Amino acid sequence: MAEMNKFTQSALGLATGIVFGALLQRGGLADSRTIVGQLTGDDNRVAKTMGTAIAVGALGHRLLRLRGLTTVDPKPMNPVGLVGGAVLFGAGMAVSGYCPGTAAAAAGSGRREGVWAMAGMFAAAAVFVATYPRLKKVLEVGTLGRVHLLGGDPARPAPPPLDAVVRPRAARDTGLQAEPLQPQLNAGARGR
Amino acid sequence: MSTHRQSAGPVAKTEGGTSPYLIGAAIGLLNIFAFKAFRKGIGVSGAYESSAALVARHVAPDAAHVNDYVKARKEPPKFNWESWLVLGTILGGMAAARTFGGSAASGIDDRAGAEPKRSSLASAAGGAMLMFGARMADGCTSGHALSGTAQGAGSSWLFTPLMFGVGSFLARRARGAQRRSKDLRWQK
Repeated sequence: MAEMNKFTQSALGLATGIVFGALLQRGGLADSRTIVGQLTGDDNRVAKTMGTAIAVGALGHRLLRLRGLTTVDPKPMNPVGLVGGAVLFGAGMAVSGYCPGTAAAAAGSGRREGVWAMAGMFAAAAVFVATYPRLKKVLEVGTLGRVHLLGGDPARPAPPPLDAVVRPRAARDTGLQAEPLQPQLNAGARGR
Repeated sequence: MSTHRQSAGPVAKTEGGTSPYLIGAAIGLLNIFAFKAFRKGIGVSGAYESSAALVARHVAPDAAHVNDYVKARKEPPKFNWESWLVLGTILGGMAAARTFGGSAASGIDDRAGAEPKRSSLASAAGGAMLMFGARMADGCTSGHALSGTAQGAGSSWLFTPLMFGVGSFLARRARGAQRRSKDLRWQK
């Protein structure tokens, strides 16, 4: 599956989504009561499901990585974006009883609240798109780049990470060494 | 969040049938497939952003500062496999609810005229809050909590416990307030 064409990739994405949505629905996760029940501690299905999924996924990811069949691609460690985002996300999850994936499965299974949650999500995504150019600097204050907890150095053939462009300034400020940068991207960042 | 109905608690717990460990293992395997096929784990919230950006570009490119957005993201928004994945998730939820008749818990909800458990405003407002948070953090329950943690990403191991901690704190507070208002009794 080295280089898939776009059609294959889309089809596989669709298939993955169908299985994902069905599993969420069968696991009772396409139901705000299950998710709020986990948050209040009355129902541990979310923890059991996610714990197992993470354990299995971690094992598989490790095996794939050792055989060079996948990449390690941690999302950037932006303390401001992550902490602010996690607080907003947790609060929103407590209010709606959903998250982006479970809301989609809930909407599909015919729950109106899932449809409303998705509507709110799209609206917020649009606001994010409109504010991102100004928000970006704030979100990436003090960024540590891509931090991997096990084994440190992400062994990947380095496709130029999108955030590499913003790291130099932050890296200089915190006294960290940035990864070698693509000069033209770097120039683009200064131009902004 | 005061709109959450408590009465369904013990009923909802026993229903659904399938073991959560089995569902979890299957989701883990699916994620392994994604790691191999897409060289990336399952992630959902990014597709909301790119779809919103695509719509904004068609509808109101100036109001949404789409050009600045594309410059800041270094990449034009695309309708890619992740967007198909979200569409698939909707279809999968639909297929499962139809094929298996839904779990008993969702059957209650799906029945026409059933009382909604949450106001539409709470659902939409909560959805908006969490999506903005997810985009700030560059991931959600799937991108961070499932896929990021599985590959040992520092960011995901910061995001996930914090997000569940905040959600748990607020949900417990809300439940406490609800109980107190219900029977004027202080619940610990």
